[in-house]
Amino acid sequence: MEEKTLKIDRKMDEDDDNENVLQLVIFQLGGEEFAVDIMQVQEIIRMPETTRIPQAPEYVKGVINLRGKIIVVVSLDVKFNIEAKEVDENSRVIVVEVDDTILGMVVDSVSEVIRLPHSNVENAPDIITSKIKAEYIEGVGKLDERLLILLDLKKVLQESEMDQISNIKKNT
Amino acid sequence: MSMSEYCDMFKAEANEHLQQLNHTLLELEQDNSNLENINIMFRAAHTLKGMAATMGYNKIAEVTHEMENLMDSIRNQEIDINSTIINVLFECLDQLEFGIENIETECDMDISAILLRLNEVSSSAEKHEHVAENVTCVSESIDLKEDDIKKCQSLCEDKDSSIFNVQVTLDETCLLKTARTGLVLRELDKMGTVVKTVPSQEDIDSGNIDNEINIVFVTANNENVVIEKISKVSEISNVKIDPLDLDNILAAEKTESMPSIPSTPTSTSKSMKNSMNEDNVKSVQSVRVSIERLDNLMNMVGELLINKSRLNQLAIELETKKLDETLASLDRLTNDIQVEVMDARMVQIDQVFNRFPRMVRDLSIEQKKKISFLTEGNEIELDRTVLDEIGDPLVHLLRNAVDHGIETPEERIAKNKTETGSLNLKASRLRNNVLIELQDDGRGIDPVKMRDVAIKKGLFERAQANDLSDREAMYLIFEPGFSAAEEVTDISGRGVGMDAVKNKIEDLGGSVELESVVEQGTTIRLKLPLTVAIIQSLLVNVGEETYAVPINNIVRDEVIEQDDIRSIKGEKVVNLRGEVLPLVDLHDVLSVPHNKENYRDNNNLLVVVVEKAGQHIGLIVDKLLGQQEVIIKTLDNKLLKNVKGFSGATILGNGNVALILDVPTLV
Repeated sequence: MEEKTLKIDRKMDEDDDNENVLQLVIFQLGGEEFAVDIMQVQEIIRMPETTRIPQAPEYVKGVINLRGKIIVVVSLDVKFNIEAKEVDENSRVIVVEVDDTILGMVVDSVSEVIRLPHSNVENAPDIITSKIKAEYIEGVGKLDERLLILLDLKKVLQESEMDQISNIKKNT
Repeated sequence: MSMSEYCDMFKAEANEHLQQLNHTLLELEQDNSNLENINIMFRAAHTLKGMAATMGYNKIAEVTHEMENLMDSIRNQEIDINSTIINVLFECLDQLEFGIENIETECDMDISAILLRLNEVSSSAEKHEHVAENVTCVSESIDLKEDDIKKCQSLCEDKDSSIFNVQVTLDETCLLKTARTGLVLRELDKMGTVVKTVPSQEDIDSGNIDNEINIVFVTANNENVVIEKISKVSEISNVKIDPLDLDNILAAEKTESMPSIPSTPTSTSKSMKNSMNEDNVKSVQSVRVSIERLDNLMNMVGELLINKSRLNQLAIELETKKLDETLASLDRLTNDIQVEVMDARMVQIDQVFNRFPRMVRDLSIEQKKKISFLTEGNEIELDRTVLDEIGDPLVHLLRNAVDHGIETPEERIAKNKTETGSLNLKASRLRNNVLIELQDDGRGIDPVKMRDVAIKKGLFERAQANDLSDREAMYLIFEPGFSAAEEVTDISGRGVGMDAVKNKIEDLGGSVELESVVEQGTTIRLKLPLTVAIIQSLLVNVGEETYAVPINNIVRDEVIEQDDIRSIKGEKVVNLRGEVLPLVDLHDVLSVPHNKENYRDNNNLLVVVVEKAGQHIGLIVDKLLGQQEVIIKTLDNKLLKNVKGFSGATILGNGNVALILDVPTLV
């Protein structure tokens, strides 16, 4: 039900505004601000109990029980090689659907949902001092003085070749 | 409903009819005197034709139409049934199956060959003179059952009425037969009571009628009035009425033990039997539900169970007695729902078994072998998911049995065996498992030959091979790439069969056993779990983490001392009452982050003994939490594709997730 109403809201918003406005979920991780398209976000939940999976890639934190569904959660900090906070009451799991797969991403906190005109988004400039690999970044959104890193979730949540190679090495 | 959904429904139903046709044709092949089988086939083909024509699958409709013509000639005894006809009919069924399988390209299907064959047999077969059915005594053509007679009797006693057999012939050109017949019956109802009609009321309603209708009718009016009334209905060409004498019928009943079947099977008595059969079929009420729905339902029941146990836990924590009663009934209800849903997923094993008689028949003809094939326990039920998976392994086993097991008739006679080999497929229920047994009385597996082949294939040195026990040598057929057949045939012998069978069955959580005596035959036993969605498991703790070990894999548990652990070639083992048990520390295998020393008492190490490929292995764990039914949920996520050793995960009573160990891939 919740999901349905949410969808209707989105639809109405789209009708109201012109199509050139992005709706983004803003979250914090390791002192930086990231953004993902709200269309990819299913829900945002508090940090649940996770079950570790032996032999899984390092950035896979484990699996959780999401109302009876078992879904994989990833630690974005490990994936991005940045230092996140310890898990506290602000920690959240953003549940996203990418390529028909439902996944959770652990983040330090989720602050808000914003609207951002497409024109405010630029291709990732070289001046970005983020340690995050450029391939994960879809663009950089400017909101007043803030810089939001728009993530390309498909690339982030796909097991890259490098990961596979390191896994093979680990297993042999 | 979209076209594709109609299409799926058509396919499902058409396949059922095909299955019935195949089955009945096989029976007919065994005993071609039973013309009732032709009637069953005729009906199935007729329904199929109707369905196909409605959907616009004209080729299928055309083939079934021609089949109908042929069968019609057979049941009217114009053509004698023979093996050629049966073979052609089998070919038709194959053609139809092909057409239904590839329904999208049905219109491109080439059916000219099969139609030609059909025409050939129907024209070449010796046609009998069509004996016009001479219905001199109408009472012979209607078959009254006991309760019908009783009904007549009671009606006659009440009033001063008599019983008539009314025969109404409709015009050849009559288009709305159902409507006309309905009018006739309504007229009759006004005058008296209709006891029975041939064809049956249901057949009439569905338009399944010829031009002739027989009606047993009780009335106080006289014959002429009845004829006059009926004749008022238009498009009636002839009405004939004869009085029926109940005493005669009863007398006939007594002389024949069977309910009076006329000596010459006239078409009416046959259609009477049809209607009786259809009555039986219609009494079963069912709906088609897609497996996906049942899966969803199953998942939801799983969640319900989890929530229920949480509620129970909360009630205990809160110490409220008030909830007890409600919780108890909730308990019962959820259990009932679980049982029902599990039952709904159960399918009779017949669904897999019923295609085998045909397959074995074809194979034995191809191989020029004589085989009597029997299936038993077709009514045993298995979970749909298991059932879907066992078809292929069973095909492999049957092919092997026909190909390598059973000898040619000449060979069998030379060996003093019966000319016809026997092949039995039997399913039975064994506690929470289903046992499928395939038994043949063929040449059996020769351990000596198996050793030779193993050496030839370079799997073993001569000395090693000789060390193998007979049993071990026979089990070599489950090794990948092993085939004992000297020549590769179309059927089997490529050495991919048996290990694939074993793997598949083990994937399902089952096991394969083999027993064979040279020249006496082979028995293969498959033990399968009833269901794969819910399994019994033992919950264990390793460090702080909880894992579920399927009970199927567990042999027993043991307590050992650290000091008893020995090391052989770097592997840990323990000597338990003479048995050397290899040990695996789950802490290490699962790379559990906690320090294991904190959880262990070195003098009391807990070991769960599991079986892997017939061998016992001890898993060292930290705590046994107890047995629990768990619902398996798959871990299909591409991020986890390199993860091995788990068959899935489950949700525990406290809402946490526990991984289910898959013993074969874990250790």
